[in-house]
Amino acid sequence: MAQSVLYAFMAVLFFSFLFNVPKRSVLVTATIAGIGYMFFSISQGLAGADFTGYFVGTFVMAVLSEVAARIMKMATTTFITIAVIPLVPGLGLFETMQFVVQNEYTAAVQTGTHAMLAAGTIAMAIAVNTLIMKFLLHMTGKNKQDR
Amino acid sequence: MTVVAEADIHKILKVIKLISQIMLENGAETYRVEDTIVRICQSYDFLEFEALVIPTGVFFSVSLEGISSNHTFIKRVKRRTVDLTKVNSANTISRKLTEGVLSLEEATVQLEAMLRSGPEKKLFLTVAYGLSAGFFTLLFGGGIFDFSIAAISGAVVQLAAFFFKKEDMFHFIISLVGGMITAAIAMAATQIFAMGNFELIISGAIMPLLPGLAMTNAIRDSMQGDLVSGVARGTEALIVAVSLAVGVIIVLKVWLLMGGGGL
Repeated sequence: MAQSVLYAFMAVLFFSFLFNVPKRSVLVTATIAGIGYMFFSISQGLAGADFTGYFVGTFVMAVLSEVAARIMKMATTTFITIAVIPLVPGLGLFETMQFVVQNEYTAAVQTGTHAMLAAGTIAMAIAVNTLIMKFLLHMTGKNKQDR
Repeated sequence: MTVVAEADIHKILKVIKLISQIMLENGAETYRVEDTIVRICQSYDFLEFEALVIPTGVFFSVSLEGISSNHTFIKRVKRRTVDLTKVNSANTISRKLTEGVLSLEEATVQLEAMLRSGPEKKLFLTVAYGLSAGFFTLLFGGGIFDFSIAAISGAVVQLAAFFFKKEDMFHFIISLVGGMITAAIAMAATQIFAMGNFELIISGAIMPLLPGLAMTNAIRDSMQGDLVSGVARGTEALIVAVSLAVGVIIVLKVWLLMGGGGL
């Protein structure tokens, strides 16, 4: 597992150059991705369900991105959109279309549903984190930092 | 709050137009662009302002004394790439503007300079794409051989992307061509060297092209109530996924028809 965390770190590191992520946040983003991927694989093994892994992994990434955004005074989305790449179900969407163009509709529906649910879970984890963050800011009365 | 003279409105409009164009063209979310516009407007004493941002354009109107003195601009955005450094600096400029650190003239100069950006680092991007593709292959369970083939085909895809960059249908073309290039290189390499797993190589090498992020963002936009943006991004993701799959399958089928094995 340490291996796959390292791979996720490296993949995101080079991927972030493609999206021209600001230089001072590249390493931070890759580290967030690595840590999140670690939680993803751990929780997936523990709960036995795919979507728990997606939720926990993305949630950890979102929290870390929020922290990094406060410290480095950058928008949270700069970190989270790149860090979440190893979890995002692009491959599932691609496989779905691959089944569709080969007339294997049953398999397409199966992988397609899984990909959609995974994407939904990831989006939900990010949204839940945003909600919690807004609530906390509201409680402490410091609601001036942008998202 | 700064008091605005009627004559200054045009400067403000220009700055807002440049900022929203830069942010939208370089991959910022629509709600973030709207948020930035609203923040800038709030720092002046406008009576009303309204911004509507969708992935293909910006609609914005502002007035000092109600509907009789309305100022409007519409900006159509055609090319969309992702460049988070530009988004970030546009954001910083808007923040400085609202804090009053930066004047409107200075902001205009900086934003216009950002619009005509310098030459891109082609070699660097090619290497980055290749290595990224390679490590995704490793992440999916590939070996060293799969890593190197994925890295090579990733680099070739990025070179092709430079070639097609100016085209109107860039996303569609590069997905189709990228899928074909990746599948061709992966098939050829696994057949010639009789080792490696071509499925893993293809999966890793197309990873940077895949629209998983667009899909996730589409769902998030819809959850927030940005329905137009959600549907638009979802469609984009679907088109990219379809053309990638078609590109890959064309090559694999042709390979089969030519009597090749290995499928």
